[in-house]
Amino acid sequence: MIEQLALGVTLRDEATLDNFYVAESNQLLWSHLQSAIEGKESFVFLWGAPSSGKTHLLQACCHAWPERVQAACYLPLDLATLEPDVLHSLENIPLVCLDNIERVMGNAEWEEALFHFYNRAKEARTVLIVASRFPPRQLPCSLADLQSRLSSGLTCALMSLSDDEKITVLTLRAKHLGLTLSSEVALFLMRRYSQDLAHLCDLLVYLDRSTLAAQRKLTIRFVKTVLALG
Amino acid sequence: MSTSIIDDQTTSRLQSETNEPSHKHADSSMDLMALWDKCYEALKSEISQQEFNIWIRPLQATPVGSAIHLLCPNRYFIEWINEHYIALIKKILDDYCQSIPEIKLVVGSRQGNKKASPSTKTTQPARPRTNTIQSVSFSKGLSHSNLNPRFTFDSFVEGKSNQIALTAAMHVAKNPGQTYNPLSLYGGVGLGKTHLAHAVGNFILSQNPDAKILYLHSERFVADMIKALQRNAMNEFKRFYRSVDALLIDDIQFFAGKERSQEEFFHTFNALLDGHQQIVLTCDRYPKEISGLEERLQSRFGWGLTVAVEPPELETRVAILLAKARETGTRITQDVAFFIAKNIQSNVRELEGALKRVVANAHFTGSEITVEFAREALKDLLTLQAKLVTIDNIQRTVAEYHKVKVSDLLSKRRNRSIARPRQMAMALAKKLTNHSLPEIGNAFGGRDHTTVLHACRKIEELLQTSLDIQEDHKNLLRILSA
Repeated sequence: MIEQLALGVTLRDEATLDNFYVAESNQLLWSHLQSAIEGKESFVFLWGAPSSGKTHLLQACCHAWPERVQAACYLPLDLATLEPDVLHSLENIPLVCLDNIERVMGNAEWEEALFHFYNRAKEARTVLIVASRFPPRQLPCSLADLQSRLSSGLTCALMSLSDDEKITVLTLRAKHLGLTLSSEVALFLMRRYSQDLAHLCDLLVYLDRSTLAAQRKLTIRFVKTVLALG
Repeated sequence: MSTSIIDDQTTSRLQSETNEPSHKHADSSMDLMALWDKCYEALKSEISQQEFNIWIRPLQATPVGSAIHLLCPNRYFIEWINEHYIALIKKILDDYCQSIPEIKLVVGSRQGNKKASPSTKTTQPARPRTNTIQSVSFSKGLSHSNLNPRFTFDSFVEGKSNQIALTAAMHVAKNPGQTYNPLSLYGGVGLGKTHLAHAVGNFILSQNPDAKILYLHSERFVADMIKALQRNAMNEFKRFYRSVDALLIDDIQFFAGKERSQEEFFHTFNALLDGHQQIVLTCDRYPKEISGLEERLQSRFGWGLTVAVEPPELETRVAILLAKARETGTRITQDVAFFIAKNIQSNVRELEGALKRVVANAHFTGSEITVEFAREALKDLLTLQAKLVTIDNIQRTVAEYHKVKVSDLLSKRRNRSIARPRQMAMALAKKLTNHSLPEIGNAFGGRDHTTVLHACRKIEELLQTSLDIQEDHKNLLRILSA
């Protein structure tokens, strides 16, 4: 596997529920999130490995929430600029999605702020969707009151995709860009470049531009040339 | 839809920073909203989706006269938007109209937001009951009764673990302000303390619908006091809190370290006690064990009756599961309830979470809830549960580490070679499990909770001074967490 290239591309597509590939193993989780968006479920805790799609799903839930009529908020707690005060009165927003909650665990000020926010959100009937790398019981949380509350919701794992499923995602992504990606090339990219879907999707944008500039088809040989792979 | 504006002092300060000249404005409310809609859409392509979802999507625009008020959740948002986005917003608006309307960043939210739930069918919990307390002028925007009508004595599942607490709570509810004042309920997380506190309030209210009952979390008391201080309304604050017939205050451990709040609570407490108004407190530990709490408060908390709510035993857990399933209109068999209860032993919240998962999975797949189905649905949770640390495990590990017998740890022997490992095991049990001091004492040969407290303090002290103890502690933690 080669080191990731600084591709200098950013995905401008919005993360929506429509452009999320739902693997068979994630159908249940999918239905739970739908319930939350419909207001039938007030607290969903989803956990999964990095790059499994948690951030996409949380942002997509915000997107799916009826805009302007009902405000929504997505807060990635790994954002260094955020302080616990950001949670003050946030329960007045009908949908709050908290991402990377594990990043503030062990920080007493954050844990207490989250604990109080959870209580207020429950009282205010705010829909809360929380994402983390770990399930509630494995969070390095010092505040038992918070940990037990995080365990009380509908907890579900976001399963990582199999290689075949990743190929399907990449093929769909390429199609969206107007690029033809064979499963051989997709497999080659996964083996030689990265297993991480976010990186691979960035790479597809880069390869799309390269094929256009070179007026070439996307073949293994072309990929090797562009990425200088031996 | 009305607009609630909180913290108007902040608002006016920020308004002056963000106001545009008032002679430039759009013609009507409709125009203003259409203008904001265009700006909102344009912002989506001007900033990243993440930034948009964090800072712009939570805003709620509302036309007020010739201005657009952008309602923000809190001051943090106002300051951030002011610093990073207000110039961009004005620039975009400038592209769409000749005269930019006034833009005001205001802390607040649309009233009735939650009523316009996107779902027609919801399984949300019943609305909190509000009573006459809301008519007290101080409570306007500051505080209100939050009794949950679902939390009654009837819906509380009784078992050996909570029988004493339940009896005490019922006694207090029938004779408020008389015998046991305050009633302090303490115990690990998710064991039903809050339920009992609400049940006391609901019972008093059922006997006397005019009674002023106030349930609140300790954080709310602190927040109300800060607001009262900011608004120079301490007299109103005092009057309000001292006017209630029953004050039910949850999680008092969060008063720790908040000296001004403790001072105020101390006076409120005394006034209520003098007036024979009932106080019910809940705490996650024995009140005397809360560090950072003034001694005079600790002592007062012990004046009435202090009772522990213990973790529910198997039969109670089964009964809780069956009751919770019934509440949601789902039927589960005794076998399934036994299976879940046997495997989830920590607290009721986790039981509830596990049941939710099983029921949701069954609804989705249209399957019957059998033991096999529950096992599959809870697969990952059960794997984790198997790794949890228990007092038994701690005793075994510490005994093995120090080459003593478990029976020695539980015995009355007091020589140091036994006493020190025993103290270490007690301190680890306090640190790594959710058990209360009396529960730990009980598991160590029926010792008193003060013995456990002494052990925890001793080990804490030795960790500062003894390298050997530090090393032992570190090693044991590693073994137990592996």
